[in-house]
Amino acid sequence: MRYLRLLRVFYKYSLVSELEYRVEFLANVFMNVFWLAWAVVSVAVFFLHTDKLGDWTWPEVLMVVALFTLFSGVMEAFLRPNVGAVLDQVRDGTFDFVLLKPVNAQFIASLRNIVVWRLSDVVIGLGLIVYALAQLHDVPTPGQIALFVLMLLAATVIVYATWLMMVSLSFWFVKLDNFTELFYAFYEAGRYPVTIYRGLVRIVLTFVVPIAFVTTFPASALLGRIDPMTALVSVALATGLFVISNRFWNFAIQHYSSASS
Amino acid sequence: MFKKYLALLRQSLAALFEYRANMLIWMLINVMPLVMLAVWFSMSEGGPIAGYTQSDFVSYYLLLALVQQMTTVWVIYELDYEIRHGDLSIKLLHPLNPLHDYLATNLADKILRPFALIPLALLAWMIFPTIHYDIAPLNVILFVVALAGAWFIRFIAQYIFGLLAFWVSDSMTLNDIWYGLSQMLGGMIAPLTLFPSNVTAIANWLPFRFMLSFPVEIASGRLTRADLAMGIAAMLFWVGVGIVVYRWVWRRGIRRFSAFGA
Repeated sequence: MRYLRLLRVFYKYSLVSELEYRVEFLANVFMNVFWLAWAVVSVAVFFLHTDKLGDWTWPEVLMVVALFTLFSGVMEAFLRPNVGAVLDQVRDGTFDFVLLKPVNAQFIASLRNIVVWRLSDVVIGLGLIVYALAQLHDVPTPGQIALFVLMLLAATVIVYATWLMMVSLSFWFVKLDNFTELFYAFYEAGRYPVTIYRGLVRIVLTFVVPIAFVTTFPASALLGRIDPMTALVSVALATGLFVISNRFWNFAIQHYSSASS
Repeated sequence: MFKKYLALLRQSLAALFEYRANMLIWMLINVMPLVMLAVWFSMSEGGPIAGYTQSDFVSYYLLLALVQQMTTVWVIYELDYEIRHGDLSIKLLHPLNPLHDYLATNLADKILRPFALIPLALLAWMIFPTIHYDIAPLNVILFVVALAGAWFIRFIAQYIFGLLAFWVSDSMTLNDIWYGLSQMLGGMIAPLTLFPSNVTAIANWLPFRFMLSFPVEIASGRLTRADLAMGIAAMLFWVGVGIVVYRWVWRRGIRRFSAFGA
């Protein structure tokens, strides 16, 4: 219960401090819209020359693009300011303050901050999803929507766990500070349906760095064409990775030598 | 002047060499050309698209990735930081215009890059043996000229946006928009000829083409002599515009900066 109250306090603080910079807020939202428009134009250029991209039609590809944007919003709002910031805190020596707090360190390190304006990407992404569904004259069934949300949650947990493990690894290899950038590089590959990739590349993007789970599979779920096996694997993977990352994180902070002894 | 440049270069090279692992990671991070290649590769499986076969697309995007790597610029982040934190004042005390310091840093990086790029290029050639370029000597020279032009335009444009930090708090946003446009109209999303013809006609004269696509177009051997001539002329025009605008912005900016009694 106390953790829920803490969450409320954290988020109210973040929101208030952001609204102070209203112009910046608007400029940021504008840029999000710009990049979404950019992505849509790119797909439009592709579809000047084809009817299907990796077996997906124009509105279907738009859905993957929308999910890419939506999930970027999730990453930038929740993941980057928290898990992504741990390394900077370690370097600055401020991570000790996290460990000293009377609540679980992973909880604070993971949920302390929220960059509210980044949620605009989630909103814009959802908007594009609605548009794409309208183009398909498709109204998803409650079951499909539920599965979609489940896939999205699974994707969030998968990425969160992956980042947590990378951060935990960086306690030993402090010079690995651009690992999040490396992740973003793989994430770029999720812009369009994963079916455009062939052979080895598609295998890597599905099983090694599971980008397929992040943008393509939730889209498939909403379109009602996800294989139940895939959905199951998503959830299993998310759960498994969460447990492993939690264990690894605890192991890492136990062996953490603080800035002052 | 040349000796000062050599000194700056040597300093920058030493500093950059320390971060070579980081540099490699930054280089590998640039996957956009590969993603776009995957798209067009899959689309052209059934046959060529607007005169581009699968092999043509591979040739195009691999070289585009290389051009992108050889023209990367990040000076706006340095400038933004230094203007905001007043560090620029220190640079202004030096006898050389700070521009040269930033130029030297970037050039040093470009000197180091081929050492990483050449093995990657050879690897790409082994994986895709059908890639092909027009390597007639004159064409190679023009390619290098266009590459230098691309680097310069990218640099001076970012530098100008960076200098806007003297006036606005959000020069980065403007630079992002510029970057977005250059990715779209500079040949990243698709070779420029694959746009609708009226869009291509306009894009051919915009600076974005000369920041990325033009060197690749030259290497592809698809440009006629007239195209080449007009292209080089347009590129030189934009280089000139860059220099003029930079000078104008710098003069006004430095006045304003000094007025704050830094």
